[in-house]
Amino acid sequence: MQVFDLFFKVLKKKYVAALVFIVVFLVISYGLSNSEDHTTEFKESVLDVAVMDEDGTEQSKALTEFIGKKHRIKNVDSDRENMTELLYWEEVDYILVIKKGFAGNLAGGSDELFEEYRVHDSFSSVYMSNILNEYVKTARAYIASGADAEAASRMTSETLGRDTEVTYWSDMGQGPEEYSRWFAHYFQYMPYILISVMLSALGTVLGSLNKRNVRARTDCSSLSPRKATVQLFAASAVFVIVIWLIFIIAGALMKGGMYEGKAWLAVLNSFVFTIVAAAIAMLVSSFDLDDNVVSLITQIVGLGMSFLCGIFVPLSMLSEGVISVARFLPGYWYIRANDMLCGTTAFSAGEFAVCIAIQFGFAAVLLIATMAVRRSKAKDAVY
Amino acid sequence: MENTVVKIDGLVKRYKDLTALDHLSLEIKEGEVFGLLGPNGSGKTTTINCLLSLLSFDKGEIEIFGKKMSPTAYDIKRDIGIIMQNVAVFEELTVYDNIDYFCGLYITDKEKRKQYVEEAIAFVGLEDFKKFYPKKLSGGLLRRLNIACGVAHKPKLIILDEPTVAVDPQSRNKILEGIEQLNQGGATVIYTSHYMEEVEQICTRIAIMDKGKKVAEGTKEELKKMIKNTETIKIEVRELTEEIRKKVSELPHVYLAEYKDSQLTVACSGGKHNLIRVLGVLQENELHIGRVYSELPTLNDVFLEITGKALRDKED
Repeated sequence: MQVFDLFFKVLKKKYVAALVFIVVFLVISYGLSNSEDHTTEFKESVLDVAVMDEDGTEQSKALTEFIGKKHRIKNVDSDRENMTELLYWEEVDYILVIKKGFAGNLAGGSDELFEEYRVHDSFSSVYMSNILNEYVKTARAYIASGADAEAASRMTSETLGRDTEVTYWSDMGQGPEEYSRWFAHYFQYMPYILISVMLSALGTVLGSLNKRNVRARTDCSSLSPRKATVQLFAASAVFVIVIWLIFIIAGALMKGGMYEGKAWLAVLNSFVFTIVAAAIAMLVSSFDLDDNVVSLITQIVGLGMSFLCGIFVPLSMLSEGVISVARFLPGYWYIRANDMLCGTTAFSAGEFAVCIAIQFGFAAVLLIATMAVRRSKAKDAVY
Repeated sequence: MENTVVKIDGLVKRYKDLTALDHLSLEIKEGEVFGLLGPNGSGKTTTINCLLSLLSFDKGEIEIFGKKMSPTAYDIKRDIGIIMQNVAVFEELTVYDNIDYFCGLYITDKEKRKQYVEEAIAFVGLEDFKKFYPKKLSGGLLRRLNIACGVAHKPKLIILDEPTVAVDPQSRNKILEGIEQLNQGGATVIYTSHYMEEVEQICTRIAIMDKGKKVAEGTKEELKKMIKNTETIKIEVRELTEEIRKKVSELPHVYLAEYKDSQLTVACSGGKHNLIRVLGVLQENELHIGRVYSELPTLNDVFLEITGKALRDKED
């Protein structure tokens, strides 16, 4: 098993770049998995607001009522010295004091309406200030159009109190329960990492092993080229499977359980693409290139395919022209399959199978091209 | 009677219109250090590539250890060691691991291999560099590693293709001594080079190649006897007239007398006292004589006379 062992000895000197890709991807994925719930639905923010009504008129009560519809009203004592402390300990987000004479000033156009206690530049203070400004402007608009102060306050509360229906739109569909949005993202970005890892590790290791001089020395030996190739293939297969398993196991751990239902199809899709990425690495390695050139190719192929095939930018945002080009790249078919699984496009078992088959086709073509390049090089495999 | 280790018969290799090997025939006996001498492009490396079945050929036959050589003749390959012109080692492996890997292509028994690797390291004097990576080695040490990788499995036939190219004199001497040791240990050696001094120093028999053909073969003494020249005399002398040069050229055994840049060059064929006779002519004419050299013919003279051109380019 000389060649098999050699593969892993050489890998020991070449694994750092691949490890960086893997670690960065997993760390980012872990971060995303923890923040998943915050991005899946739209919800209006509800603040804890303390209101002190010093005016006590119908208008000031209408305003308090309006605030209570959208936010939680907290009762606090009226000791103004304690207010800063309440804000500091985050017992309330905002304290509004409706000044005496509010009703008259609202109708009269004076700015002497409120006194605010808030955390400077915080989201809650800006949000609340906007609501109050809007309330005052709307009420004054009603008064200017002829309504009396009480009616203006009531109508303002009604108008601004209406809920607006919000539809949350995402490039990823909600998908089935067993294949969450986070999963869809995890598997969506995986091709870029797989290509990068395969090219930077497998590509450079095979490149070293296939260098003309050392290859010739191996060919002169009593080890048959067939046996050498079988050992090399076995070592490559072990490497490819281990890398793929790292991503699959990490995915399950981050999800917190075993894959279910359609998630298994994503596992299959990623396995097929891993083979494609390995085949790309094998083809690049057969050209006897310097490690720096392989690194450059890694960036070009990885980033190029990611931008063209919908890995970084959703397919729905790409132009027809770009998609026409992407169809000739394996990454496109991977993403199409993933889009079906996460619900961005309708799932069809037949279409999914086509995507898988096309990826296998790409892998086969790449392997045939690799063999052709190696055969042409073997013709002058002299040292 | 010595056994024939390598027999090449009528080997022809063509690259489109170029005939790299033109009906080359060689026979190398057991225990010989056989030199393949020729200028760059003469077909030495092509011969080695065909010998190792790395390259297919158009015509002819190759037998090694009495068996027909082919790409699948692994029993023959087991007893061959190759030291290539360019250093062929893995940059990612240490000195020890490189030798261990290449030895392991022939020797599967781990214990035996360990012993062989240690012996190879000692043989090339890399004991202090076992854990070094090739990048950290000097050119000479790298060449020694290259040799260790080729001979660690103790082959019976060792092929060295220009192993001393771009090597410092100290490493070159070490390499040449090593080749002699391997030969004394029973290995048959094929040594290709365009450095005639090396070939003269270590080879017991030499074949001179030019344009894919063998132009001469024999021991160095036999090769030198093939040519007219037996001695070349060079004398620094001023104001040598054409009349005196003519007198020198008419001396017995002298077949060439040239005067150029204050140096008289006299080529002789046979005779025992040629230098004394030439100096006598110059003294008779009361000429002031500077440095005097008398050289025996070299392989370069052999090559020059047979092919009409020098063995090495001037820059070599």
